[in-house]
Amino acid sequence: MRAQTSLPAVGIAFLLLTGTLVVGVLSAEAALRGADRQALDRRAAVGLSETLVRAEAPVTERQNVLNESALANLTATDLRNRYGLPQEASVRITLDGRTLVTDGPPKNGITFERTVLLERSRLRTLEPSFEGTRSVTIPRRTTSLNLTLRPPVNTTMRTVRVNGRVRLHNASGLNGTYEVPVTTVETARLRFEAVGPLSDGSVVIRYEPVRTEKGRLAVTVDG
Amino acid sequence: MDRGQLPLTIIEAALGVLLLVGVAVTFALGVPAAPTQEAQLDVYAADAATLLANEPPRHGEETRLRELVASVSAFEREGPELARRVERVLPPNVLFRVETEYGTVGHRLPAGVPTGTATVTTTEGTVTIRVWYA
Repeated sequence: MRAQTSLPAVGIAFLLLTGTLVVGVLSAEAALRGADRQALDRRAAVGLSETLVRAEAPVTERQNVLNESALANLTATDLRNRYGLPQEASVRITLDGRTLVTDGPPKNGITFERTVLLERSRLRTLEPSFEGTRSVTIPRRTTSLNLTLRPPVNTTMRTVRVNGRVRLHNASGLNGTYEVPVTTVETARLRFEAVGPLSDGSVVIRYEPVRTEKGRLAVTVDG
Repeated sequence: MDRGQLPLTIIEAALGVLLLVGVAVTFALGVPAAPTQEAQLDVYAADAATLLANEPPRHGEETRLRELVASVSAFEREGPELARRVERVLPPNVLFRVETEYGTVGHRLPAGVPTGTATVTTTEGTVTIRVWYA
């Protein structure tokens, strides 16, 4: 009699316990897997950001100095094949809040921020007018100057000096395009020594000064 | 006696359910949070150190950091300017301190905050950059 009445209770108790056990195991599994995934995402994000700013990376000039045009050509395929991003992970890379690459897109994931410098070079042209002087000071420092010398017909340009040192010399006259290496340690001051008049357009100087700007590269990876 | 038997089993089952729920809750809460913050701070410090270490000096020596630790007078001359530079390099929500053998520049380090550290070794001495969230 006693066993008879408690049988339904035992059944209910078993059901309850089994149900709770199943729910408990499932939630524990989910929690552990979530923690694993977060660790993996973090490692992937750190690794990817580290590879992107390395001195050897295709998008950098030096360590932590990015080349902006190379960065603009970056694709998600590059990230997977060359920068060690896991194949199935979704990714977003932003520079100062502007999205460069997005694939997935990641729903949450882990974000890592890097402080970088952006290097921009822009071609500038200088045409000295040679009014009262035959010297030109290059306004910004650069590593190389491209000189196009087209002196007037009755003028012989013999020498070009950079900060007093002879860089180009031809006794019978310079005419054409020349590359003159200069240093960024001092401001370049060019002096053109010619027999005869020089005017607008006799000399065209092209140079590419480099400007660096601070930027913030954010890498988000969601595995 | 006969009536008391049935609730006893139910009470036992309820206790078992409580125990299992307790274990499950421990799993849900007890998984340690990933130390993303510290890793990010270390990265900030390392990036700032890299950028400063590659910057040209303002007066002498080879790099800016080497110039800083060249002598006491060099440190006093370059320190404030370096602090301004570090402040510009780091994100606005991060505070910093630069430690050298001649002294420190930057903010006062509060107790008990997670920090990120990067050390640069130069031929003149070492420079340590410590950062933390404001």
